[in-house]
Amino acid sequence: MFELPVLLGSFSESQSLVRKKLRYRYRNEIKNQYKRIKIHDENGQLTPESSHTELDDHESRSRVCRGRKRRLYDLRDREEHGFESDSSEAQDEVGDLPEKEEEEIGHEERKYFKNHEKPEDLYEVWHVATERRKVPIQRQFVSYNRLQTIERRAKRKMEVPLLHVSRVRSSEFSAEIDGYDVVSRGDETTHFENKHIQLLVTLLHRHISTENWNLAYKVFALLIRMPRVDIRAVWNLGVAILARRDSTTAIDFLEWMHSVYSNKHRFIQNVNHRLPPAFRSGSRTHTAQYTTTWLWLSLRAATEQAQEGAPTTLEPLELLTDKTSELLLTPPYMDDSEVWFIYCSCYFVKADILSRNIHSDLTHNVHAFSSSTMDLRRNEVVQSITRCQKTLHTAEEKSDQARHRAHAYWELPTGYIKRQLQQIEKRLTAQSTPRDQPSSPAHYENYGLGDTELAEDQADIDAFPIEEDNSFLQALDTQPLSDNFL
Amino acid sequence: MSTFIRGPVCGTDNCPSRLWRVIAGRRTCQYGHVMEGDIEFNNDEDDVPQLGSMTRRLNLTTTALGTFQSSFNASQLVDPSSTKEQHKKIFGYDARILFLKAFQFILRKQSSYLLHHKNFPQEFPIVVKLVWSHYLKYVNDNDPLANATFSEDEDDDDEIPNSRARIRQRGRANKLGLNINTSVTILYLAAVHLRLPVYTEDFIQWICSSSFPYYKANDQLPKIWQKRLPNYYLGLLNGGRALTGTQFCKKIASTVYRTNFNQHFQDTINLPSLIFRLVGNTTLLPEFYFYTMAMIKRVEKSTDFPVIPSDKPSFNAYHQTPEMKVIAYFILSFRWVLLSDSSRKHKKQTFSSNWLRALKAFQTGWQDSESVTDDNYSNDTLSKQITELFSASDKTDPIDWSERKTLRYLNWLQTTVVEKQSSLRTNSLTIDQNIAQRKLHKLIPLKTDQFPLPTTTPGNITYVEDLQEKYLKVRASLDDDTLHVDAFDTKSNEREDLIARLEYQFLCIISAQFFVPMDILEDCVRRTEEHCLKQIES
Repeated sequence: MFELPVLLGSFSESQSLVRKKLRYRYRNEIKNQYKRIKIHDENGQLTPESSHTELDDHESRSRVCRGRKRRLYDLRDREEHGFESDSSEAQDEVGDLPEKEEEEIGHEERKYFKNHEKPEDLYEVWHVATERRKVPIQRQFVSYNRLQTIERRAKRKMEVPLLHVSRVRSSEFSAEIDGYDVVSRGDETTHFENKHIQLLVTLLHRHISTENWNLAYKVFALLIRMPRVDIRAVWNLGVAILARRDSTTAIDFLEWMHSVYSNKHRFIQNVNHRLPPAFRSGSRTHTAQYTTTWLWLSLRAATEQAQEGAPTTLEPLELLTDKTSELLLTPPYMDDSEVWFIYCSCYFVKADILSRNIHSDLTHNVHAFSSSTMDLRRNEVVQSITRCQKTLHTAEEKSDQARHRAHAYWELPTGYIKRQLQQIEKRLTAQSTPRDQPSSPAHYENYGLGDTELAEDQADIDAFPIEEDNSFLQALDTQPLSDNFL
Repeated sequence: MSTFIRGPVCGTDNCPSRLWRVIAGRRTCQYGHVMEGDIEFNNDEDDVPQLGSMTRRLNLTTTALGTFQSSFNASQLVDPSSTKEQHKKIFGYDARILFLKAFQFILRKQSSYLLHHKNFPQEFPIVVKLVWSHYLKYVNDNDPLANATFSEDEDDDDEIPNSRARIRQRGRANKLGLNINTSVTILYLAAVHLRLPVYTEDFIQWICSSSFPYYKANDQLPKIWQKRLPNYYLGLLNGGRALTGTQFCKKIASTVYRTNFNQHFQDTINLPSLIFRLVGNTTLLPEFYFYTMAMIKRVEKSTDFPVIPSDKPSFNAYHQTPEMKVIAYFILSFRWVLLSDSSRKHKKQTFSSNWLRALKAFQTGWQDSESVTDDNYSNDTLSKQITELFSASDKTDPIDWSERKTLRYLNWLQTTVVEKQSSLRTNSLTIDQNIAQRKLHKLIPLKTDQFPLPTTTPGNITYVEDLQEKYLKVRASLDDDTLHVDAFDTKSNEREDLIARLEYQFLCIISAQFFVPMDILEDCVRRTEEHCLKQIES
């Protein structure tokens, strides 16, 4: 039912590779045939003419003798499409496969997908309709007879590769190109390892959905110990389970993911990823999902700890700030507005908590602190505020850049944060003025991704940062200090 | 004025830069990569303020050994020694000899497993050796490399018009026909010779529950052999997927043919215990044992069912293999005895419909009742549960597994697959990967207090106790009043219907046990029925 989180190179894998290879080879062959008769099918295949013309074809075939018929069709085609008629079939029998294509036979799939864009930050292949890439819809028709010729030739080209595959595979292939759906024997694998992995994945999903966390944990722990399992395909489920009990384990696990799978290579368009790269890996231009999740989760944990009130509890927050600042020096993160925004949030939380402490001290016992200590503490807050503003500005810039490049981008709650910063500033001086009520958490709704295509990402982000900052704000609201004003 | 100096290509992370300059005494490329091992102390004080404004940080990681490296390169992670060992592979005649040796090694492991874990008799390994020596004789007589019959082969090729067939034939000529399944058949045949009460079913069950050295058997070979054997041969010795009943029958037939088993050995299977087992598994009354025996004696004139020889790749005479034959006779005797029983209307029926109904109710409620039973499950039920996973007629979806059943499976997986594999796997990883792996396993241990789970231990219910319980359950459901319907005797259709349904259920059970698809099983029964009718007529 679920796809196997395994790396390449298993038995069943090789079987499906053979199938894929045949399919794409045929598809490329068809494309070549179209090219030969100079029809462009760059944006989708041509539509065959309606069935009544097909009947006409048959009638005319019975009426007209063969030689004449062909000339007739060639003429008609020329009239219809304004194209040169195809070269005679004799040439086709010579087998004029260019040598270059012979070399690439092993990479039929790659060749096919060369014409498709595979954005790495999205889950699926999108035919992105940016201004640059706009293409008209394929409106051309192809006569039924001509389509048959094309298919016949492509089939003839397939004879040689079909010679070497098993009989089952070749009959499956011929059924597929005739438009039948081959009923496979399910995703039933008989391979030992795959069978157990498949079962484990099924059990994992089942127990997560029924919220049986104890069993789900056990399944997950076993699954990552199975040979050949790629943990990058199941890390999200693992975090969901681990975070259920203790967020520190989840954060440790994500940190492990980040340190082990910190891929900084370039994303290569030509590679056809078996599992979608968006959630599985990072590259030089794309921050891995587990890294951002790790940062968000640790920000949440640090905020929660800082709110407890003890003076040492700012440590995890500062540690996180240091880590983020280090990350921001290297390629994928330095251009990612999300990471910049996390960095900004670190300062924001710090400024807020420090200012709150000052405020409560001021209102409770005004003369307890010497003015110089107070100045130092104020300076710290001011520093945080300026840093926050600075980083927010950078995050905005990066987000704008991403938008211009038609990538996924962040719409940042700039206005809200700025307003909040102003209030924090007021706290420093407000000794007797009543404290402004912070705006309601609903303002955070304009938070998150602007790109509607990224609904999944949105959900992901919804789950972590918003909730966590909300709780932080709500905690702010219910602080006893507001009562003291009344 | 540019301060860059043209030099070699930087190459770090595919950096294309050829331009270098000196920053703080280190040679740095246009994009900020520092040249390794090149430190230059700049004595010119003039340049310092000019260059001091440029700062770049280099992403340094440490390798496992504590030294710095600028970034992970795929080429760096590959152990250089592994590439050298590629050349150690041997080919041709030497490889064949080594392969035979390896095969023998696995055969010995398997037979010693049976000896120690399944209480096989002491003589068993000797018989295995005998069968194997007969097989070796066949290999020796048909060795294409030794006989050097290539020229003849080529003559043959011209006669075969179909190129597909030519490819196939050439492939076959070079093969020894040995793989891990052959070793299982040799063990099976040795058991047949000793008339041990083990059948194809048992071997498949042992294979599926992974205790038998079959799956990844090539990992158990000595390391040097593994390195030297070509991958093709290693693949032959790696039981990747579960053996199905039909494959097993086919392989047995070919091994029988090759070892000339029928001439040299005792070739009839242990009939009584197989029938007994069938009766026990279907919880039929013990009378059916005698019915089946009588029927076999009547039709076949003897109770000797020999294993059949055939070396055809297109072997499909499954109804002639002894096990299938016995199963077919058993099903037929069940059907015919009960049907003829009902036709005698003037007498009282020997087997009441009530009993049939109770049996039916028991069989349908089988799956549920099993999950309800106590923790004290036997190892037998566990291995059955796992075998079910691989069987062709897989009816139970793991999604519907009860918590206890799931836990039972997970514990089994932990002890047999994961823990066994982990030691093998760590050898193939580099030291970095190993450390990362260990860290992960420490982070996510198999057992934590945060996610507590009840512990289950396999009980020690014997086969006899299990059987007793089953019969008691049938007996209990016979007492169930809801099953008693008055005046059922008048409706003869209902009885026939019940019999047909029960027969189908038995076929399901047997097909799952013997790993044979339902259609083949039904076909076997049909063919045997025809055979019986012919015999009776003549």
